[in-house]
Amino acid sequence: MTAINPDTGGQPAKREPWEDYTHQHHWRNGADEFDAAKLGMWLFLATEVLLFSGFFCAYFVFRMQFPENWHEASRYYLSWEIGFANTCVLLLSSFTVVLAIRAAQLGKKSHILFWLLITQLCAGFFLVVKLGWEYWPKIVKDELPGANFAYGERAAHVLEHAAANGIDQAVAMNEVARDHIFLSLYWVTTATHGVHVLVGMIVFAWCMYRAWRGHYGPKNYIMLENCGLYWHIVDIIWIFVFPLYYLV
Amino acid sequence: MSNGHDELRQPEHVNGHDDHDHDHGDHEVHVIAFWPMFWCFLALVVLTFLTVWTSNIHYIGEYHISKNAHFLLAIAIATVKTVLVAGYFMHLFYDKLINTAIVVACLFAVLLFIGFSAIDVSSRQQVSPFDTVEIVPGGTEQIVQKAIDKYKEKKHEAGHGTGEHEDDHAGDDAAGEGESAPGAETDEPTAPNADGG
Amino acid sequence: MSHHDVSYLAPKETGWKTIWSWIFTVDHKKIGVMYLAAVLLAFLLGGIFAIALRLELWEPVKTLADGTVTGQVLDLGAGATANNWYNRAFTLHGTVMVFLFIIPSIPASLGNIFLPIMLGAKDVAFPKLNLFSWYVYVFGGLFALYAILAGGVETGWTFYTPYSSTTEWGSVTAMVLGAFILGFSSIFTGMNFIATVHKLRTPGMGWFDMPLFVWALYATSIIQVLATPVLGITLLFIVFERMFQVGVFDPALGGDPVLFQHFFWFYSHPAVYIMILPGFGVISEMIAVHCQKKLFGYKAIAFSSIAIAAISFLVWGHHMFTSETPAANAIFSALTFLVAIPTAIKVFNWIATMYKASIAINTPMLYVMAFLFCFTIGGLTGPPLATLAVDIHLHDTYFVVAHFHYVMMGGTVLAFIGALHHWWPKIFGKMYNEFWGMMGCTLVFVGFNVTFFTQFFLGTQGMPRRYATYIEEFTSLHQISTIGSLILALGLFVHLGNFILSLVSGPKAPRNPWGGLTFEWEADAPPVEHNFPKEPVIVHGPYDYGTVTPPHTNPGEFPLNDERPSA
Repeated sequence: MTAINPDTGGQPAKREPWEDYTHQHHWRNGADEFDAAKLGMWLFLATEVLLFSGFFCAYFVFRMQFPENWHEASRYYLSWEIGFANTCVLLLSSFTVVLAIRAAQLGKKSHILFWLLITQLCAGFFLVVKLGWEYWPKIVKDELPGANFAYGERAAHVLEHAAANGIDQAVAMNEVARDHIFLSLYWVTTATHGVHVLVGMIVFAWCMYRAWRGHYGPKNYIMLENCGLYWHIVDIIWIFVFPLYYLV
Repeated sequence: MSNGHDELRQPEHVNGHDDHDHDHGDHEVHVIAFWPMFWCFLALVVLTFLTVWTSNIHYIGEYHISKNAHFLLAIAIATVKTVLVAGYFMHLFYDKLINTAIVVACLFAVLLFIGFSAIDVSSRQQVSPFDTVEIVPGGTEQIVQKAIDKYKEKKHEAGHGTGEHEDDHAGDDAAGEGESAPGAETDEPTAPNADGG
Repeated sequence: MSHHDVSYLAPKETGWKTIWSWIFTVDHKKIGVMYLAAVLLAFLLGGIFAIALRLELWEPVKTLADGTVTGQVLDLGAGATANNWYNRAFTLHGTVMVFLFIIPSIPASLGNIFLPIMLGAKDVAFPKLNLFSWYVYVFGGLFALYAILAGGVETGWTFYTPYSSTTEWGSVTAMVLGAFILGFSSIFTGMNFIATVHKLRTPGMGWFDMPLFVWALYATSIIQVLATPVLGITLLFIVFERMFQVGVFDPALGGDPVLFQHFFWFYSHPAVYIMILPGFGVISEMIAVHCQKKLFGYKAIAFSSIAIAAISFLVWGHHMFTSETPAANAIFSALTFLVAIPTAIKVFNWIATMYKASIAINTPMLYVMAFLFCFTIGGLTGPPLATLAVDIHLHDTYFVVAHFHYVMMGGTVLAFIGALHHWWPKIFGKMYNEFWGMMGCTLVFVGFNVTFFTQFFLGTQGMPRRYATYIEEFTSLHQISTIGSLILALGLFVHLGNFILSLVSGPKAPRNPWGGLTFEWEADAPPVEHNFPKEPVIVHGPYDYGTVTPPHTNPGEFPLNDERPSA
């Protein structure tokens, strides 16, 4: 993309759109507009947190009832290395968003674009890892929720063990009976989170376009700030998803 | 990545709109400081390492660490990380109090939601044996039966020694999704007598 | 943008431009009027289902020799029995009334129009989001309409799993998605109102200078923002269950159906306060204005709104007394009684305001009194239902149906219709006919009580809700109830006719017909495009009737057909 350094072509004297920014007509001043936009964004973030709290509530309720099953399922189906890599990448992207906002506050257009690009790369990395190294192998191994759910080698081991020791199969299988719920919750939680990451990428692409056109500067960076807040909340949700699903 | 254009916009330019804008009540820019953010990021990464590391420690000396302890520790670390992200990256430490108030109200709702649901579910054990079993059997049996069928089927296929069964399943999955109620295709001894459902 | 002297309703130069100016408007008043039209349509639709239900219940349904159940009204053809049609009808009545009508009714229409005006603002904080929320509402409504046409839903508006997640019947997924989308509309409205109250009060207006309607809307918005997302995830879970057999709520897959009820009621109990709190708000306004008296206990009413919003998150388990454990039952039962306190504070304050006041007898005030009567009955039948032992007996009977309708219809809907009369002159600049207004109110009041008071008796005698059939002993009570519902419908149509007549040929309204003190009565009728020609200045409290003469009430402005003196 040419986006990294558009400043080189422009004339230093050129006036950027942000310098002429004035607040919308129904506001009394720019400070009120800025604060209200941020307040509105925080309210939206509260709704996001509550939306995800549904996943977490289901998680806690089942985990409370079947801690052993949960632990074994987590160890068997998910690999913490992937989760760890993705966590680090998301943390890095959060940091670069902060730097992009800082660049906007300093009026450095090229820096905004650079940091946003890094953010985009991180988000892209996250999604590629998620899809290619987590979702795809699971789809291949029939580990999607539903009637076709395969209990995998885990069930095989349990059943062989039961056969060898003369335990009733159905009793033995209780050990893996909640795998389906665990993986179901894993799928819906991470897929919903993944959709949020995707939305974040789209939003940041738009931000990059706007930044390239010179709309962000010390007088007007609220949109960047709000997108950053959104991105951080996506990050925070992952901060909880990672230990709860991959490490417990 | 810095490309020398910084000097075009001097620091005083940043606060430069002070001259005419303050009396109009324009938003004042408080430029984010770099180093606190950087340390915050580092701390987050370190804490992530810490979570992973602690999750693999099962004994301290002779003392066995229970799963619940791991669980609580993981949540505690995640909470600390969240406070860091919210406080520094999302500027709650510097920002208007109302934004923090929203977060507090939101957490209040989340805790009530999870807490009360958990109270209900966790007290099922204390009610009476009759009540406690009611939820489990119908479902579990069906699920278990399905798993056993699946296992036998797989074993059977493996017996034929072909490697293509994986593809078959992927295909099944796409086709069977959505329209069939659970258990529709396991028409073998799935035991519809299970009384739960 | 200097339309400082043109009414917001004034048509543009050409017809197309006028239509355009409505479709893409960001004016909160126009959006409010569009919401008003939409929710009234939904009210009509839900009402049709209600009347169908009542007619069906005119006689106990017969079982034929071959075992089929026949209905009187709803047996619409081969294949489906009366029971199926009855199930669909009550589900759609509930879904349409709850999600499409009553939740957006007062906040999104009257709140949208009057919240910014009462604060002295030009618009809500996020005008584009406001318009977007209307389109989201319409989109969600179309989803629901599609679900109705594509076979309907018979899960009940509560969508309890595993029935809703496994039934092949009808179009549950479309209806659930529709409700999911409608939730977003509600969230956006709530966000907008909170930001507006915080950031757009006119300079000098403190929190305790705000009209109580604004307080009520603020409390409502808090619930909308904090509870609705959980409905979103609940409904999303149903969709996941139906499409991918996720199994979290399905016992056949190891899930927990009671967990669904927790999810659902975590939203849907606070939602009843989303429905009633704006009603409380408009009642406070109307009582003060039509009694021409300072409201008794302003702060108590204001804080009780916030208290109700907070408590609403603590009590959802009382919908589940027959499905959750005794431990949870005990906690939720105890907490539920808390709601009675702030609610009673409000009612006492309203009655204290009316004491020794000069009460104007007109349609809005009649509605206020009808509200106080009905809502008190509805409120007082709440504590018996919060009492565990009693509720186990009354759970899922007509007693609950009657209680619910006494607070929702006898509370919110009566307040809504009253407020519509109260602000009609301001919204449209036309007066309505007072005689027919009062006539309609009387019919609605009588019809409502005849319909639902009998249902208390039905409930205590054991008539379960959601049944198309009943034993012969209940026939007379059911018939009284059905007659009442027809009177109620007649009353509502009287209002509709009266409103239409007012729009077509009503006399021009003065700016302040009732002598109100809040900012909206200082604005023109109908207001100009940015509400006020210049920013209003706050010089008195919203209810200082003892000390302040209401604006625009000198006789020169009054004879109704008079032109406003051109200043």
